[in-house]
Amino acid sequence: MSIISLLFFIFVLASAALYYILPLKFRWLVLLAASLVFFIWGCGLARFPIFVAMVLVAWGAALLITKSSRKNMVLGLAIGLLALTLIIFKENAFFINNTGKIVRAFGGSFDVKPPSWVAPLGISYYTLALISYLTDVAWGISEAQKNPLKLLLFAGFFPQMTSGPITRYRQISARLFEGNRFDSRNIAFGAQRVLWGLFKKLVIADRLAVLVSTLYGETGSATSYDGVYVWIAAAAYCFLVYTDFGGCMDIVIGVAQVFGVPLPENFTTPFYATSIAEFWRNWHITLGLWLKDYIMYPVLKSSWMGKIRKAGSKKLSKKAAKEIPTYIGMFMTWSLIGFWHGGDWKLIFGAGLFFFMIIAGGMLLKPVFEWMIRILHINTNTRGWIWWGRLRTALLFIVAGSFQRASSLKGGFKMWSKAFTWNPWVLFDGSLTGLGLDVKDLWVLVFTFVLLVIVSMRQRIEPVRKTISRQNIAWRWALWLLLLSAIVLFGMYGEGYNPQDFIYGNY
Amino acid sequence: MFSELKTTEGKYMQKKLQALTKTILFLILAVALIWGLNLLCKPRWNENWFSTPNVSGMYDLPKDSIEALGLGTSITLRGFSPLTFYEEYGISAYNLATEAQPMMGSYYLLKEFLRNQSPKVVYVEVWGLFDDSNNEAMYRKAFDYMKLSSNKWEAIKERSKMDGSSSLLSYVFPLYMYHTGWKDINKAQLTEFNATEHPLYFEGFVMNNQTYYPDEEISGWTSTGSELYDFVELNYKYLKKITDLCRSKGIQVILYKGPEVDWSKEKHNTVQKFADEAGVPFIDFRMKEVIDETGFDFSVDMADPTHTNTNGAIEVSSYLALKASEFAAFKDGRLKGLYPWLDESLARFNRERLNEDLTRVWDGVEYLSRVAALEKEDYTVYKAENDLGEATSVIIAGTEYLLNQKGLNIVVYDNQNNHVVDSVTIDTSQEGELLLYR
Repeated sequence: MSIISLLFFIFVLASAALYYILPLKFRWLVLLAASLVFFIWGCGLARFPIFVAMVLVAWGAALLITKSSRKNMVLGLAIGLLALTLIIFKENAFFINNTGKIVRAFGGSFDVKPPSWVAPLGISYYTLALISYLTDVAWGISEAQKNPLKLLLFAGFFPQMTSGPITRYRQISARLFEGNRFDSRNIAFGAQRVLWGLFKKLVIADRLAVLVSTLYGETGSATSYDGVYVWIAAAAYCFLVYTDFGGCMDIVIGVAQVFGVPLPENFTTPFYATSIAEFWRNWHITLGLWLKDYIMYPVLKSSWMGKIRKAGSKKLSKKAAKEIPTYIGMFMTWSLIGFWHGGDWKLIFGAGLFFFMIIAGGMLLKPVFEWMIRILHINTNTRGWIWWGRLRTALLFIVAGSFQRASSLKGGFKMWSKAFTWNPWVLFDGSLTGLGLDVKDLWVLVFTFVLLVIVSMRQRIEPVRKTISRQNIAWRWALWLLLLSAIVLFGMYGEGYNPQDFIYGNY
Repeated sequence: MFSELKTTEGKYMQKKLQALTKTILFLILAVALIWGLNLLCKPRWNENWFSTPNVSGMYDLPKDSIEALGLGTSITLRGFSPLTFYEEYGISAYNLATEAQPMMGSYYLLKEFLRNQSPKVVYVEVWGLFDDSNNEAMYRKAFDYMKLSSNKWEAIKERSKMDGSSSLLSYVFPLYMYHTGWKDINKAQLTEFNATEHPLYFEGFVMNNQTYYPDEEISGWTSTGSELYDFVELNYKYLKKITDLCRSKGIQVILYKGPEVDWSKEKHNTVQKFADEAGVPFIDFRMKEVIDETGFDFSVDMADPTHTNTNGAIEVSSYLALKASEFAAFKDGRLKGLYPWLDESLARFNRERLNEDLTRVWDGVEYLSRVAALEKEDYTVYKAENDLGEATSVIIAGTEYLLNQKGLNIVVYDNQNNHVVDSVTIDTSQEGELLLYR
C-alpha cells in the first residue's frame, strides 16, 4: 500500500477513527492491528513469520539479558541473528557478487546468482530498531518489554515501515502503548504535515524525477550528457532525494502525529550546514545517530581500541594516538552507512566512504586550512564565509549523491569525467525543455524551490505550522487550501505518469 | 467535586465538538475546492467544432419528443441533418453522434437517450464496426458529457475494464487524468460555453461547406461480390446489443453507410450479413440504386473523402427520412407546431445555408448584387476601398477579418447568427471584370 495512495489515507482515517473511539487502554491494539494489516498488505503473508520471528528473538533475548549473567553473549548472539537476517535478505548480492569476482580473479568459476526474493517490509529499519532496543536493555537504558505483542507494535508501527525513521524504544514506547487522548492540535498538525509531505513528493520530487530519469538515461550514468548537464543531473538527484525522502518523512511523521505518537525527525534543514559533518547531523538523522550510538561509540570505547590507543601513544604522538581510533571508528561507521544503503560499491562509496574521505581529509588538513585562513586574513565570522561553507557542503553532497543514482561506481566516475565541458548556454537557449519537462513544469520547479527555501528559513526559527497556527482562521485555511490546490493541480500523479516509489521505500 | 469533573469533561467534549465542526467545515471547503478544480481542468471537447454538445443537449429535449435518432462517428455528425428530417417530412430527429464514436459509446448513449425518449427509428452509421483505434479521446467524447447515471456508470466500468489504460476514477473524477489542464488555461476554460444555445448548433448536425474534388469519378456499385472483411469483435458485440435493445423496445434500427470514397465492397458485405442476421435494413450510399435515387454526386457533395458537405448531408438525410416512413408512422410536426425549437433551429439553419451559398460565389458582380440584398436582411456589410495601399481594419471579437488587399474589401457579418459569413476582396482595377479573391 503506497503511502501516497488514496487507499492509504482511507486506511489511516479508518484506523484513527477506531483508535479514538476505543477506550485508552485498548488503543495500542488498534495500532497493532493496523500495523499488521499494513505489513501483510505490503509484502504478503509469506514474509510475516520472518518479521514475527525476528521480533520474538529480540523479545526473548531482552528478557534473557535482564536475567542472565552472560548478557553480552546473549546480546551478541541476538544482534548477530538479526543482522544476519538483514544481510541475507538485503545485502546478499554484495557478498555473492564480490565472492564471484574474487573467485574469477583467481581463475575459478562461480555461477551463483543473488536470489531475487522479496524482503519483509521495512526490514532495514526495524532490524536497527530492534538492535537498539536490545542494546538499550543491555545497557540498562530501557526496560525489557514483557508483552511480545507490544514489541511487535514497536518494531512494526506502520507509519515507519516504509522509510523509517529508525526509532528508539524509549522514544515512543509510552506513547505507543498507553493510548493517547484525542487532541485536535495533533490531528491538525499531523494532517498539515502530511499535506506538506505530499507537496514535496508529488509536486517537487516526482517532477525532478523526470529530469533525473532523462539525464541519467538508460545507462544510469548521465554519460549522454556533459558539462552543465552533469551538474544539473547531480543537483536534481540530490534535491530529488531530499524532497522524496523528506516528503515521505513528513507524511510518516504527520500520520503518526494523528495518533499522538511523536516520531523523531530525520531532516532539519541540512542544506544550511557549513560542513559535511554538520550536514550529516541534519540529514537522515536517525540513521546517523544510531550508527554513532551503537557502532561508533562502542567501537571507540572497546578494549581493542584502547590497545590501539596505547600502541599509538608509544610509537606515534599522543595526538595521533587519540585520533587514530576516531578515524577507524569513522571508517567503520561510514562504510556501514554506505553498506546499509545497498550492497553495491557505488553506494558504499557514494553514501559512505566519500564522506569519510571528506571528513577525515578535513580533520587531517585542518592545520593547513587554518594556516590559509590566517595568511589570507579571512574573516570566518562573516555571512559570506558561512554561505561559502554551505555552498561547498552542498556541492560535495551533490557530487557524492550522484554516485548513488549511477549504474555503478565506474559509471559515476565516467559521468564526472564529462562534467567540465564548457556549455553554460544550455541554461538560456531552451535546451532544458528537452529534458522531459516543458517550460511550465520548469517554472513550477523554480517556484516550488523558492517556497522550499522560504519554508526552511522559517523552519530554523520555529516550525512553520506553529507560525501559521497563530494566524487568523481565514488566512490559515486559505494557505492550506492553496497547498492542497497546488498538490491537486501540479502533482505528478494519475494516468500518464509513472508512479514514483519512494527512493527509501526499498530498504 | 462532581461539578468540577463535569465541567472539565464538559469542556473537553465542547472542545471536541468545536474541533469536529471546524474539521467538517474545512473538509467541505476542500471538497468544494477540488470540485472547482475538477471543473476547471475538465476537458472541453466543444471548442473546436460542435462535436459533443449534442450529448449534453439531449437532456434539454422535451420528453418523448424525438422520433428518429442518428448514431455514429463524424460521418453522422456531418452527414445526418435532423432539420432536413423536419423540414421535408415533419419528423423530429436528433443527431447523437460524436467524433470517432465507438460502438460501445453508441450503445450507452442510446441507452441514456432512451431514458427520456421513445424514438421510432434509430439510424446507426456502420463505419465504427471496423474501427480498432481505441484511443481515449473517442470514449471521453462519448461519455464525458453524460450525466452520472446507472448507464454512465456501466459504460465507464466497461471502458475501464477494457485495457487498463483509463481507470474508473478518471471518469468519475476527471481531475485525476486531466489535472495538467492548468497548462492550457484559456478564456474558453474560464467562461461558460453553452454550445446548444449557440446560433450554429443544429440539433447535433455540423455544417461544412467545403467541397472535395476526387481525382477520379466515383461511381455506385451494382454488385459487391461475396468476400467479407474482419470486423472488430468488441464493435460487433455492441452493435448486436444496439439491435437487441431496440428490438426489445419496438424501435426500428436502420443501419446505413454514409457516402465514403474509400468504403469497400468487403465491408459492405460484412455489414449486409450482419443486417440480414439481425433482420434490419442496411442502406449503403455507395450502391448505385441509392445514388440514383438520391442524386448524390461524389464530385460536389463531399467535404473530404470521408465526410459529406452540407448539401451532401441534406441529400443523405432526405433519403434516410424517406426510408424511415417505410418502417414507422410519423407525426408531421410542421402542421401541428409540435416542435417549436425545431422551427427556430430550422430558420437559423436555412439562413446558414444561404450564408454558405454566398461563400461559393466567385463572380464579383453577382457577389455585389447578393451583398446588396443582404444588407436589407439583418446583415452588416463592411466595405473598405484600398486603392492607395492604406491598411483598414474590421476587428470583431478581437480578430481582424478584413483581407486588406488592393481593391474593394468586404466583410459580411450575420447579425442574427452572430458570426462573420465571408471576407473577400473584389479587384476593381481590371476593366470589364470584377475579380473576387478570398
